[in-house]
Amino acid sequence: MPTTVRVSHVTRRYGPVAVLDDVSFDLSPGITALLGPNGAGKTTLLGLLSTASRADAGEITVLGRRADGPLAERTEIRRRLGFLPQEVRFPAGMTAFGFLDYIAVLKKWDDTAARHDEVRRVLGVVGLEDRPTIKVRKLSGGQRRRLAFAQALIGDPDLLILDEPTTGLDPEQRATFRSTLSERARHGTVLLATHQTEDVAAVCDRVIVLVGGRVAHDGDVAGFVASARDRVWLGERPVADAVATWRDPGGGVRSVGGTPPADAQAAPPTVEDAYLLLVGPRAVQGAA
Amino acid sequence: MSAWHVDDTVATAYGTRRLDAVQRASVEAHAVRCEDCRAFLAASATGDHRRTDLDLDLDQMWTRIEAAISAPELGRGGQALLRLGASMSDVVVTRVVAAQSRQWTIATTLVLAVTAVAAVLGPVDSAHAAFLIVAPLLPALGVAATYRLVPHGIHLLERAAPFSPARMLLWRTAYVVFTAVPVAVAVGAVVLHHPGAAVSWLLPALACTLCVTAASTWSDPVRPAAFVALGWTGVIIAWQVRDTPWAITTASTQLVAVAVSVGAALLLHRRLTSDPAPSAIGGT
Repeated sequence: MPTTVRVSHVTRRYGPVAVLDDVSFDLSPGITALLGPNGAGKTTLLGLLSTASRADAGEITVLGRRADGPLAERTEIRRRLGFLPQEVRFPAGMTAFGFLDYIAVLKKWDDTAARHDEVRRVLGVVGLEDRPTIKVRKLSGGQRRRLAFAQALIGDPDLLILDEPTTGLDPEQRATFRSTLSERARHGTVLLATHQTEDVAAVCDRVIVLVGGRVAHDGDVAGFVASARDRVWLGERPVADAVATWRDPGGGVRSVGGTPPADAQAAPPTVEDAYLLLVGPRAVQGAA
Repeated sequence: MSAWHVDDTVATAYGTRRLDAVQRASVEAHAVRCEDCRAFLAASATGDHRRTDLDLDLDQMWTRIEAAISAPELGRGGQALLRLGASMSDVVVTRVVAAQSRQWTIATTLVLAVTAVAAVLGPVDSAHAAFLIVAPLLPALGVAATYRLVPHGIHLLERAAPFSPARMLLWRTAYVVFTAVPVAVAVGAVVLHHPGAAVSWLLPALACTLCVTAASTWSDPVRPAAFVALGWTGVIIAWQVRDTPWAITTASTQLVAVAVSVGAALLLHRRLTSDPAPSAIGGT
């Protein structure tokens, strides 16, 4: 399978703090999840991959071109890239169509008719085709997030970099988003930074976990889930030294990690369980 | 609604694409609001003789009207830019720059209004000094402000897009110059009562703006803007202290401003055409 992204020994510092520390991995077509507690370096990493910022050390190759190479190389990457930042605040007074029109101009869609066709296409993909003239401030939070997602789809990019795209979406919208993403993954590469482990289980082929600026896990989702086998328990009481415990919808208490009491039974693990076990208390603190 | 309506000549010209972009946009903008003209355009396009003779495509026309409904209006500024030779893409960019910079435009107007009021009500010397500090710095500070006012997230999208950061910088600079300078010139004519003073600050303003723009290719525009603002304020205060408040009107001051402008322009050109591209304006 061709390599779309190659990250090799990348370090990024903010002052004396290494937010990313000797990070290496490759990406191929398909959907890869990027998990990690807050402050793990996910957003910084996505900024580097999108060419919005530069690494202090190491090398990043995106779509066969160096992300820190000459402007022509970076421009070529940017032409074939779709990027959704973690938070997008929209310019005042803009309509949904106007916003996408602007982003399409930034992506060098200079032919007005073709650009407008593309804007209408991506509005349709995210289910906002009937709202082109609505001011963005009048859209709901979920609709704004879909609009932000739509801009990443302009030009049908070969690489999609998405930073927490499902934040603010209701369950139905998330299901639609997953379908869209799965469709995209058939002919492109998607890197999905998220805290929603259900999304990872639903659409991702592979998962990379960043902890403290380093890659703590890199492998397929099934193997990641399997790493939590026989470490998740269902019982009447919480396990005292568990990483996390909560009430199970089926009854009883679910405990992740720790030493189970005699009456506890092993439960089928999930991506969330595996993540909590890998990251430990930091995951729980990060989610708080 | 205007009294103007689409007549047969315009409808034919529209259908046969003999209107330029601005005229076409104007017809479509009117048709969006005027049911009669919309129907007339449709009837004109579906007339058998035209369909046969002129090969009109009704679907295409309605697609255009649909596009006109959904696409943002050009506005007078946009139409003027098109007439001046700007592309539609540039019009879109300037429209967004204007939307993002509205707060700066309001602040600029307020500052100049306060300066004018101070000149009328307060000590004349102080008003002169205040104006000569503020006016030349407005475009320079505006360049920094237009970057600072880009909404969170959008700045990342701009940086990760193939649109030329140099072109973006130049449009932002042009926007602040064209919105701030005419107002400042008008206020200067009211405030300054010295021969040549009303326009004497223009070259220093150009120098300040180019210095900030050129320096913004290395660092966050706020830093050079603050540095230039402090430096220029110091110059004006020094002139006041030496009792030469109109030194700005002298040939030597104007020559220095020209020299600094040329130097900064050359530096800016070199930075914008060099590689790697400037970092602070989005070309990391």
